Amino acid sequence: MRKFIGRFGKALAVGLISVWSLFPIAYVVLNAFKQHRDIFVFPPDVIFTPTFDNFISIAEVYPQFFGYMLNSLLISVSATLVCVVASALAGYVYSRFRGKALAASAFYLVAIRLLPPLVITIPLFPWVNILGLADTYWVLIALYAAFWLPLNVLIMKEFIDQIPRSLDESAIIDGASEWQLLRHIILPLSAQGMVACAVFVFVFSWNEYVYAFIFTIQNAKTTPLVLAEIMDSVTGTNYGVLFAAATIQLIPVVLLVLVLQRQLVAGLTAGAVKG
Amino acid sequence: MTFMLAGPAVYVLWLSFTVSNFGQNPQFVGWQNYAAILTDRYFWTAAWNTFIVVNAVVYIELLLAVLVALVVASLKTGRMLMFAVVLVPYGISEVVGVLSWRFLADPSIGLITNTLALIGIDFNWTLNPEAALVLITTISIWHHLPFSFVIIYAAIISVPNELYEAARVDGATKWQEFWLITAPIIVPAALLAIIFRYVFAFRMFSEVWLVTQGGPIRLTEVLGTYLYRTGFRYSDFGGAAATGWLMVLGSLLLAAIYLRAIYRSAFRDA
Amino acid sequence: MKKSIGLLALAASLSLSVFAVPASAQSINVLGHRVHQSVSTGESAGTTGGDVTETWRAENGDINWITADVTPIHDRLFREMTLDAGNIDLAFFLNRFVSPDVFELLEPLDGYQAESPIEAFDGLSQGMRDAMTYDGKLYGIPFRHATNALLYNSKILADQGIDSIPETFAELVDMAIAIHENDPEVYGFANHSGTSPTFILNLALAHGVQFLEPDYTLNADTPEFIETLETLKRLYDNGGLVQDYISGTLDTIIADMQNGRAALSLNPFGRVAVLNDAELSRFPGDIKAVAVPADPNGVTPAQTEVWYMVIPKNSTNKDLAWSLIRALSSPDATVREALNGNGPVRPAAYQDPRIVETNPAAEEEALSVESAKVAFPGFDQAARAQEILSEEADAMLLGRQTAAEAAANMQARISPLLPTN
Repeated sequence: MRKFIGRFGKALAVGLISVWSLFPIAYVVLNAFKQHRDIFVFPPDVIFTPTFDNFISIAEVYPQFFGYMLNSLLISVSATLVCVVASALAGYVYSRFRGKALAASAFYLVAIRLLPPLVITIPLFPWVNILGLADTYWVLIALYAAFWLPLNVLIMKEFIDQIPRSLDESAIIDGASEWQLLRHIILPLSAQGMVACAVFVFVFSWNEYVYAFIFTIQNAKTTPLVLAEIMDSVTGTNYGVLFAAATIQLIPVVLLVLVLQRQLVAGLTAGAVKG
Repeated sequence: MTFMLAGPAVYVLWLSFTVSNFGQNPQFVGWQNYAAILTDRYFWTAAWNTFIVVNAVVYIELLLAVLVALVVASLKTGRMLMFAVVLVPYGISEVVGVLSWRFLADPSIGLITNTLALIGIDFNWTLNPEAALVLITTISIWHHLPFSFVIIYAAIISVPNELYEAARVDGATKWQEFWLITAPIIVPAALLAIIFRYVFAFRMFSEVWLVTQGGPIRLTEVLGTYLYRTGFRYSDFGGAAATGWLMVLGSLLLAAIYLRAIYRSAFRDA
Repeated sequence: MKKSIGLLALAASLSLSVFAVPASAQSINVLGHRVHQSVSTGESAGTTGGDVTETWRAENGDINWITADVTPIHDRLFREMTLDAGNIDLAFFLNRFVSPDVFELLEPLDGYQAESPIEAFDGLSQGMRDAMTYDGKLYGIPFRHATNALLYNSKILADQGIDSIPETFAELVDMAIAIHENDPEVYGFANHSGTSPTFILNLALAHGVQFLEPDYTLNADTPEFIETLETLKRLYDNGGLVQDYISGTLDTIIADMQNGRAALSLNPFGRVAVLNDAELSRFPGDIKAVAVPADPNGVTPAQTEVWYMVIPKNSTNKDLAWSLIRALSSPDATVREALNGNGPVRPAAYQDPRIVETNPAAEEEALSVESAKVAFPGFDQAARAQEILSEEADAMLLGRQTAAEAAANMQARISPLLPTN
């Protein structure tokens, strides 16, 4: 009997967690298949004939939507690569070396993140334009990578801390250079941590709005900007279309988490981010 | 990259002592911007709201993260699936997430409001600032729970099974197991989660802006929206920069204890 | 793991190869709202004006439309204008963002007009041109106006046995309250407070007072305005106004009308289209627009907002920008844009047979435009002043102060923000 209650309690908890997590998203996805006029109704129609009109409208009204999605993809992937490589290297340095200057720089790395990102854009905007980087992929890649660097360095440091130093030492005795040590021992052993870091940066870059809005015009425009534009204040928002666009935008992230799930779980747990 | 963040930081500090026209032709005005903000009653409303919401968000979220992580970690089947399920809210863009919640809590057609009305609770956040802050806190927790969860979950999973087995052999109850084995391992991870959530939550913007824009009558303003309104609605860049630095000071104060703990354990232990 | 690293590398090399973005030979960057693009190019389904930019493009090159929502457009423009060389050649600009600071960053257009004039320049609404004249110089050419009408759901009114729209605004207020008394599910006006409090401003006009006059005379603590606030309170307390007035957005207001939760609204004539859209609305074809009923002096209290075409001083393509302005401002272009859903800025356009034929409210609209007022003149602190107006009125609606107190607070807080000259 006790076992039964325990099991029932667990099932209930799992159910609650799923509803909490998924319901708001399911709501968006379901409404993407409804006509706009049926969205604002209470009680909502649970059974309805799904329509693909909203998805067709995106292609009609925002023909560049998919081009912007490609922009988002290229920017997010590049930012992820840059950030993960930089964090792994910095993580290695922080893990294996000590010193006052180093500790201070690490503290600074975290502290600087306290400044609201919005304020940073004020001085950055003229500089980015002087450097000719406005509306290019480069500026967003650099910003996104820099944005997640501090946390990812901490995470990578934890991972590399787990790798026994004896491995380094024996490799060095065998005549390995620092670079070889990194390439053949440190990086492969911390690969799963890199996956975890990569997911953080990717998801952030994929959804980021403020920097994208301020530093792009046309060529490097990303999907969140289109979502914001659909939330229109002159002719009113077509919520069906908005939800449809949001649904499409959600797909890559869900795919990424599903595909990398195994590595992600393994990576996070093996590394045991202990602070 | 450090320079990319440091250069602007210094410039922002200078900007906070100037008045300018969209950042052009700035003129030095000393402490005037700071004085104007510190005597603005809306700034203090915003600061107070931020304080309340940030603390509520950080601690409730931590508690939930621990509970959820314990449940997921104890599953024998479908653990991977649940892990992914918990993670999903993190993947959705803030704008869409907030929008969905706004609909669910809509005063006239929302599922949540109507359900609450059935059991006699009038949850009209459009008129009641306390209710609006509750909604904002809920949305923020919903969106960021996966972040805290991942950190705590990783810590829980890292406990070797032998420890639990040994404890069971010694006749420990589930409760004792938690306090003696799991809790000590969660604490450092929780510290990390707390510090980062403090930093993020302190700058909270989209949740508030997209739900209430700080209304009704600016009673749900937080520092993030106060800054945005000053800088980008009223084109007062000097005021915005000053608010930014006050926010840095504030979050440093709030997070000081945790920052110190992290700094010590991570970089001074060797 | 190896595989995914390989994939990432592939993606990286792919992304690097696309970085070289080709620049087109001759083109112009135009910043505006999507609605400006669609009325100019006629891309919306069911419109008959066609692509007004076609000839211009054949002769001059491509138009890069950069579109965003209203506030972001101006935010972007202000940022761009502080650069040495901006990326925006032509922008659409809403009157409520005007201020002396902004004029300093815009190119005066009189020289261009003298050199290669716009066809029938005098036919552009005089009042709208005046509103964009500063220090004797013209800084913007009107493109689109959004003048408030009384929108009403004819089906709901007919169901309640109301068969005519009252002659005066005072009667209309009583009617709005009666609608909610007849059917508690339905409210009177669907309007919202927000950052640009057009409803109060229009309500003030209907009480015979302009909240802030073009010469910056502030009328907050006048008896007429206190009466305006009292009317607002009476509407709000008795269901003559939707309950989400304070927190609502344009979207919730539109949804209220589309779903029949409210029967009336003070909103631009052009908005009828979206309210009658069969795919969006539960009342397609039932929403009608007429001129707002008269104020105590018998004048139509219509308030308006105007979009202008402006050239930033730091544009690198000013001549091309001016030639596009000319192309979009000719009498024929104005009519065709109106057929695509624009509010025409040439009063004569309302007599054009093409418009009379397609717009049943053309006469009412022309009448409203004639007496329309820009309810809030621009100045540096206009955004702050408008928010103060909303805040104090909302505080009154929430029962935190009386109408007289709200009016006094507005007067005290807004006066110091006004230009002194």
